[in-house]
Amino acid sequence: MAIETPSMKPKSLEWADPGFFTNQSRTRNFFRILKQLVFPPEGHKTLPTPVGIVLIALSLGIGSAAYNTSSNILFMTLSLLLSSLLLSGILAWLNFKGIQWRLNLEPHFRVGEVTPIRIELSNHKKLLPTYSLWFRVKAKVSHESKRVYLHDRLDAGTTRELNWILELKNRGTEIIEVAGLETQFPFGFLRKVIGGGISREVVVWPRRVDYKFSPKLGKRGHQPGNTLRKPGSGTELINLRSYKVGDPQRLVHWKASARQQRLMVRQMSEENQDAYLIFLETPLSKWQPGEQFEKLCAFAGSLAEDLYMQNRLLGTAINDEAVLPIKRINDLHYFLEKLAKLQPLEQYNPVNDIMGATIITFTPDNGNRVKAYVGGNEAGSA
Amino acid sequence: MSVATKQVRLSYEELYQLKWLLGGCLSLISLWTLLYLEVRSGPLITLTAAVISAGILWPSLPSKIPAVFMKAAVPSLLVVIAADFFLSRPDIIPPLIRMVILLVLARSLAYRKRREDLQLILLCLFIVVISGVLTLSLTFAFQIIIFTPCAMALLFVINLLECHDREHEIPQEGLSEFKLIHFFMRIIKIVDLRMVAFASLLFIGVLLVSTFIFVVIPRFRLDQAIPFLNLKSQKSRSGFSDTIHFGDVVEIIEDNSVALRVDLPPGVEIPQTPYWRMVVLDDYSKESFRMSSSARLKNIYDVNNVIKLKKDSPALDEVGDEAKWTFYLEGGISRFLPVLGLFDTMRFQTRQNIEINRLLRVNSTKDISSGVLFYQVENMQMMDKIPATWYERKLANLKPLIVDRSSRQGERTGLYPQTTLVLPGGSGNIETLERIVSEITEGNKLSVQEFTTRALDYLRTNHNYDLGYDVTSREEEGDVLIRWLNSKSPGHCELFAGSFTLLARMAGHPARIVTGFKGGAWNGYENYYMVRNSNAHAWCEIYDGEGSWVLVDPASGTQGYNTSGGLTAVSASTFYIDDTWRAYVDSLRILWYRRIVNFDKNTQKELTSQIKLMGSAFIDGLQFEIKQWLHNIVTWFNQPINYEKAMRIIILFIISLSIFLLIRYRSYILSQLSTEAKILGFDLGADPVRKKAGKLVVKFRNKQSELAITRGSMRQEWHDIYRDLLTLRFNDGHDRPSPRGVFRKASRLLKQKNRMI
Repeated sequence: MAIETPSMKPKSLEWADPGFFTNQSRTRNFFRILKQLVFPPEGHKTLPTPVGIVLIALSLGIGSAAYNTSSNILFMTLSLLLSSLLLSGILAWLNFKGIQWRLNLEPHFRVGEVTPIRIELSNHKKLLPTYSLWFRVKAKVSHESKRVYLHDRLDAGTTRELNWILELKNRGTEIIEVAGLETQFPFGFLRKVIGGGISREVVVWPRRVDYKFSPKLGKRGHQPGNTLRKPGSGTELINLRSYKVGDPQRLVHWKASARQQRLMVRQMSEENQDAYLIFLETPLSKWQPGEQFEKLCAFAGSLAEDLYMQNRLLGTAINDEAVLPIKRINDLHYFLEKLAKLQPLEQYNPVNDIMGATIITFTPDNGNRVKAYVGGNEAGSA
Repeated sequence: MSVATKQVRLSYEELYQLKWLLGGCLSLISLWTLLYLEVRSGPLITLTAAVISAGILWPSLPSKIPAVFMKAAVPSLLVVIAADFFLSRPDIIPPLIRMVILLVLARSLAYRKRREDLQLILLCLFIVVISGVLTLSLTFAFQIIIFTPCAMALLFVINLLECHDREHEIPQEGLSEFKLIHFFMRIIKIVDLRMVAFASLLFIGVLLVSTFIFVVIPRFRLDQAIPFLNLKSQKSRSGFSDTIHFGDVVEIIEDNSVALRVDLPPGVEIPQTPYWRMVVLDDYSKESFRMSSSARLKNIYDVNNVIKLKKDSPALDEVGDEAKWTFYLEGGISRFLPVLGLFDTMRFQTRQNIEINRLLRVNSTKDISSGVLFYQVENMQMMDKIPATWYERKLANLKPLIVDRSSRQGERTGLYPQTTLVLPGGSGNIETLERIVSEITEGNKLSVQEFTTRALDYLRTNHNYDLGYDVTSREEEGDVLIRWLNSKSPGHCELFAGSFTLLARMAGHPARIVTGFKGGAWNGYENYYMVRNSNAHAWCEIYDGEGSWVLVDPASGTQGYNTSGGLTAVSASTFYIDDTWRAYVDSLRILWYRRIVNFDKNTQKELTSQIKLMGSAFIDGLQFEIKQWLHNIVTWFNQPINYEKAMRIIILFIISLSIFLLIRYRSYILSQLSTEAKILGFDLGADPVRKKAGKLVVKFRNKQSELAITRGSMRQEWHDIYRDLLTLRFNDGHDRPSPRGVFRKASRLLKQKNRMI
């Protein structure tokens, strides 16, 4: 079965820029700026700040006084105010020039864990530094937002990383959006927003919870026949064999491969440990959305991670979906992403009497607790 | 910029200190502008400036002010301001200015957050602008040019602070440790000269743009303006009032500052020593000449921007430049308006409270302007004599009126023009005057002119001109002028004029004193007439019995408003031409008045047409030059080839080829030159080819990270060019690739890469 795994090269790693200095020709850039001043592209905004409103009111006042009185001193003041406004605009565009930014997100987000949202800001100008910028970063689903400031100047030809430490509270899909670049540079008259920001969808895994998991041993003390699916998990080398699709790279014996002119992998001794398959059933009749269901997801996720670390996780299955063998870390991440999006199903009939000795199932318990069962026996709780 | 310099930045504390310093400077600049404004607040301004300066030097000062004091400050200020407004009624501007000073002081004495900083900037801007509007001084231009970058820098720093994570924090500790010298040293260490140069260029750009806006902004005609707030000057600095106490003019002639500037119409002639007539004083009482109350009763009061002495005077647009005199009377000089003679119309920039006295031919404003007063006089005629009005024609039948001020009935001085014959009675005054007059006339009945000549001779024989003589300090009895006439003491113009007036009256000739300015200097830099306060003068007008008033200047012995020997404004070679540095500074002032303060719709039109003319003249000239040049070439080619022509063609070809080759292979030539020079022991600096290759290598390296996403063919090309660049950069051998081709390809690839990114 083909399993879709998330791309490892997120779109957000691409650089974004203000979008009006893209041409090599200075003349074209100039006319592009002029055009965008008249017809601002989507997301581009220029709003007066309180200082700007005062300046505009002042200019209007001085202008009308100048016209009424024909005082050239007032005309002179007015022209100085207007040219300051013009200078402010030019400096703001110069400040934007050569600026590129990109969003560097951690590969995984988890409920309850602080994760930095990193914006890499780069100044490609030759001489001029860049000042007083900020990004309005949003976690759209969680309705959280923050201005991430460039506190001091960014010299020409340098790069800086601006961070927002975010702690997400809900699992599921989250949209991290860098809404655009903003500045009030240089005098704080106008707030310019350059749109065309970066948006990225991230999956927030369930939180890690403390749980108890101590399954009872089977009749024979072990679980015979349940060998580990991951060769090489042991410590003792017993054989070398040809590579098969699905073998982890770390088991490739490079020297032997070089000698044999084909890929050879190490075969390690089997370890005599129990391995499990996590099976989650989430019928609405059994699980109501809420704290207990969240705990189920968190419990299943935490358990899967721990079992994987101990090489005791065979695979996972959710409701009527196919079993997902967990062979490598990406498989586990895929399972955690599924858990992140898991919701109780209205039309699902749970399988009765799952008695497999290696299958972990879950049931709700009193007081929002969740119990785990292995082979029908209670094995743990969270 | 070194790498070390790049990394040094001002901390939050230092930025706050800089903001504090800039705020203080802004306040001081605005207070400086107030020094030119007569608002009777000198001590307050000085005190505020001192406190703000102390605040700049010791920024921890505000933290030492008890909180109770700061809390009480606001209500106290409100009470003080309200009381000031109430007590200063009906004046608005002086209490308004004082209010703003107090607010600036309050804002400068407390640590400011963003909002308070903005309030401070607004208050300071208000002060600077209002001072400029009221004084119209050239200093305003200088002050606003300093104020603007200071305010911009302050706003810039506020903006930087706002982006800081300690945005609303006041760094008390940093302020208490502030040392101005250390701070400046730190700023000098941090400052990047390239950025300073860039900022300076930007500021020059701002000035140019604002000049452009100032010029192109649509205007109305100046005479259609509504008057702005006017600040009245409390006292005439020049002493030109409707009463003359002996000694007033002496005071002012010690002052060498410019009182009046006059732009003359083109081609107009003025006397070599012009008498700028301002005030006419007819009555004499209590040892003072004054404008009699009966003459004052004839004043016409109006609120207008024009004085029309001729009913059918033309409209402004119909008056040509050749008939317009522009006067710039400095603030605080006088409310009386100096003119050279009779005129049709006098126009002001804005509406004024005007007083017109058609009898004495004196015009004035109600109040003394605190700033420069501009007025334009049209069709001014300089005459030898001032024609008497119909009202004055009865003078011929009047006799001298002796008024004894010590007696009760002495208060009655008669009505104008009888007042021009008033003599001081009592204590032997009349006897003395009679004695002197008979000495002058030798008992004969003389004509006015004859009498004048003899009286002037008498005065000049018995008295010398001396500014320093103060007759008022003598504790002798009798009228001051009679005492002086009785003596052989020297005297100044007032004494000469007053004495002559009394003698003329005693002889039965109506006479009056006129004060104003005499003479002046031609400014050699900007071609205008410049009258200084030291030109203040007093002279007389004597009625000739034939319907005219004749000028008599007893101090210099001149008679008549001499129009002969006048010189045009343009060819003023025999004037006293002032070309000292002071005249140069003053010429800047007139430029300011002409080009900035008086800039209006008409000037705008003139400027536009001048630019148009200059543009078309330039294009025409260029076209002509090109045509001429082409014509010469064609002619030259059409001539038969001779030895000289052939040689010229060959030389031209060789030069062209050399230039072409130099441009084409400049990199290679420079590189070879550099290598050869090194061999010979001269270091011409880095090899330009290697230098350029090095720069491109750096650019290529910066783009290496993005190379992975490029197409295969491009990647290969990229590697090839990079290799060539490295060869050019580091290989000295002769197997180097052609630098020009490599550089061209490298630039092309970089451009392509940038587009892809």
